[in-house]
Amino acid sequence: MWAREVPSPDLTSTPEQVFKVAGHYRICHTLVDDAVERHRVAATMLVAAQRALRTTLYRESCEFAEIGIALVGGAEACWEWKCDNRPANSPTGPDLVLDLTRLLCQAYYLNGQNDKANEYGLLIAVLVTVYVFASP
Amino acid sequence: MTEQYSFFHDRVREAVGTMVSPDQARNHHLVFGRLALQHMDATAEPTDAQVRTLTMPRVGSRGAFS
Repeated sequence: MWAREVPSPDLTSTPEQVFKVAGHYRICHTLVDDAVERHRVAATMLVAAQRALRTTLYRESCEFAEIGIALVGGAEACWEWKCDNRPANSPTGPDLVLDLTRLLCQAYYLNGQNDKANEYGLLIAVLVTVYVFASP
Repeated sequence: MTEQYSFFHDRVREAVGTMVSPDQARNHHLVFGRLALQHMDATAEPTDAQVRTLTMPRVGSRGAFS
């Protein structure tokens, strides 16, 4: 039903379209089964979170980024993927997870939730270390 | 595509307004979200990389002299 090709998160769509998609999937993201669709929605959530952050909607930005991370299986899944245990038919790579986690850390910090920002900051440090040193 | 999308937008919004079950509402949001995602893909402007690909001459082609 959705586009089968998987484009990278781009900023060419209008904010209204992005927020419309994000607004629907924030309610029903637990029902999405297909790996390609999950990746596409997570990429759209990243764009929505970026735009929400720019317009000082920090709480919404946190929510969009959290949903995006949940859709790709959690930030810790990055470690599994670097060990070549990526789920079958999953187009999501560590780049999207890193971007989502970094944005979530920034949004938590700007929203005044410093504990969570520190937690995700540490997670980013681990992920970047894994990403750099485990690269072939 | 836009007219079709607007039609479904209105119909689904009316339907969601009369729903009582959260599961049904969630299912409708899923349908509507997929439509919105499809609509967003169809109306997105091409990225710089795509434009560059379209305007670059193909490797091996000789243009008007081939």
